[in-house]
Amino acid sequence: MNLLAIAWTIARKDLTGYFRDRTGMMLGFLLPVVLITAFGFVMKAAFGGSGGMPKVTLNVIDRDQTPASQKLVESLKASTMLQAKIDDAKPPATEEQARGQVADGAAHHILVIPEGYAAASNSGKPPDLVLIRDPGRQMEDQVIRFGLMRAILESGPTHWQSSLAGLGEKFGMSGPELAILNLATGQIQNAFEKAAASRAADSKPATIKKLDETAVLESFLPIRNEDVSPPRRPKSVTYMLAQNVSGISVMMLMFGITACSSMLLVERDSGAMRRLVSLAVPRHSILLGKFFYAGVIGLLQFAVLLIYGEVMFRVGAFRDPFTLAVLTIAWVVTATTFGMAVAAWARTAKQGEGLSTVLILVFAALGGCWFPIQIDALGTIGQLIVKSTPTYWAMSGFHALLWDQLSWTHPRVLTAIGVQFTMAVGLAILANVFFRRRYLAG
Amino acid sequence: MASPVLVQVSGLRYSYGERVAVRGLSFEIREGEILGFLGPNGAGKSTAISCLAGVLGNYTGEMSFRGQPFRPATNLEDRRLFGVVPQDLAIYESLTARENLNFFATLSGLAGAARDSAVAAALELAGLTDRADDLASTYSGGMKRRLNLVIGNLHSPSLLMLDEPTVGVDPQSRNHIFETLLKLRESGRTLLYTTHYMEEVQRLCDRIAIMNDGQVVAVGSAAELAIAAGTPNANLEQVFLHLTGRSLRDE
Repeated sequence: MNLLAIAWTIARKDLTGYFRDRTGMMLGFLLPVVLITAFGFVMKAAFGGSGGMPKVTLNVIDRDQTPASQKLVESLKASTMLQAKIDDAKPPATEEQARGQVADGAAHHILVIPEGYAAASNSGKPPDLVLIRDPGRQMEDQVIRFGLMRAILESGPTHWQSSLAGLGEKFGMSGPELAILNLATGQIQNAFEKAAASRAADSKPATIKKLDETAVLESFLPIRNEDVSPPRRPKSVTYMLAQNVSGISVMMLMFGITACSSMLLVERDSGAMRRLVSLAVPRHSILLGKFFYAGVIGLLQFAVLLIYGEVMFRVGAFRDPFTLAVLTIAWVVTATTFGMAVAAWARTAKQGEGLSTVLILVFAALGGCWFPIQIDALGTIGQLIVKSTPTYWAMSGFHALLWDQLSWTHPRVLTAIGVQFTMAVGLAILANVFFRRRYLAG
Repeated sequence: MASPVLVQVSGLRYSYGERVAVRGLSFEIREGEILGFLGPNGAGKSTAISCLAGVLGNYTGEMSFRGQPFRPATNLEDRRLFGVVPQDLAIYESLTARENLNFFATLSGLAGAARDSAVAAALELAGLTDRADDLASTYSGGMKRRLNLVIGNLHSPSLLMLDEPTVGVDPQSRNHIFETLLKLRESGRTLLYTTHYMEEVQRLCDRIAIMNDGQVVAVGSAAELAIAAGTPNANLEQVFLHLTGRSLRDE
């Protein structure tokens, strides 16, 4: 009997026992599926905003209750960055009540559209909106201010004129001077609108149909926006979804495989290892057999997770089956050797469970399984630590496949695969050393 | 005339770190006999068996099999000569008896009809033919012990080493195990049997080696041991206590 045949005999025996325990097997497969479902939906809900950003809640009190204020409210509701919660109390809450809500923590940002908002806008004055906020919520504040700016600009075509009028007031312009300014801006507005109307029938129509504050502001920025994304990336895939499917799959595989690797400890404690060691088989075939067993289970678990992720969230995992297969094998081999090294090192099952849980959670966090790692924001040592985790390279490979739509020939994917296999070799050597020390004492 | 020597052990010494478990152990096992290793806890019986089985390798001393040097820890063919029945239940409870036997038979180098035949014979010997396809987890303690025993004998080893094979079994299963061992001896198998139960060695063993503190302190039949100990009318337990002392032992 050759080495592989012996190892496979050992693996087949373990697989028989594994599949016979239906409840245990179902739990092994079900737990990652439940997690990926929960995380998938949470990510979709939490990061369903513009460009995969979280939608930030903005409470809105419309005290004006006019068509103009309603237009602003509708614009806020349509925002991809904001989750506008409109206060529909009759009568609307006062500014004082709004301050109380923020002070109580019931809301972190409340926009009050004051009475007279429409009148001010119509008279060419800038609207006097009030944003009551918790100063500790700076991250939300940045998103809200940007979202508010867009919503306000989109809600009315004449704000640029009123803004200039407000600016004129700050310059100390007198009534007649302001009247001249308003006349001038009105004429400018008319000139642009007439031009746009007369170009409508031309072969080269105007790219801007109306002059508003957005158009004015954008004209100050010498930027031409170009959206480029991999042509084969499915529209259903968001950044956080791709992150979630690969992150949970990578992390849960480590847990699954480590559980399988603990078979070494079980056999040592039961005395079966002593019998195996006394048989006329090479000692390393025993370790290889356990590697095959954990690897087969790992491949099955990973395949189930990817198929489930594909069916549930359409992540396009099977777009490039060969790259997917190579990345999967690289990670299963790496995770399996990790599990074997921990199991071979541990003197007791408790030690093995403790060490593997700590390492897996640390690797998952550092490697970006839970949330994307901004590697460039870390210092040299931070980058070194992150890049020394196997999860980082697994995530790098799957991210390249699912999000960047790269194939195995791309240097980034090849590097991820190469580093994982290198780590696997190191871990396998470590596992073998520990196995000889702990299991073949003497 | 005494049977030829199957295994000769001279000056065997093994330490677990600082603790010396076997210190200069010397004995011989003759073809076709049952040699009993009788000793208190911590006497070095299991360590001696582990060295012979190739489980432990860093020992000093000499071992020979039929006159040839014998290094089971490093030589696969040497390991194939012996069978081991560990003190623990070294069976897989998630497998059936047949699956357990098939697994160990395959790893012992048996295949095809030879394996099927060996498995069937082992089931018969263990009295488990009717329950061959039930999971081992559903077996009683005695059934598990019987399965544990016949696994070691699957590949018809020249020497079968049993490390306290009757621990925790009922009288019926113990009796079945004894009968099984006697049948094996009748078929020509050589057995090394370790225990600290006097009645077991008296009933089963042709010769008894009393171990104490990592060494064999006396070898012979029960009567020979009594004479050697200078207490010709004493029973085996009295001889044992005389040779190994009355102090409590902790492994």
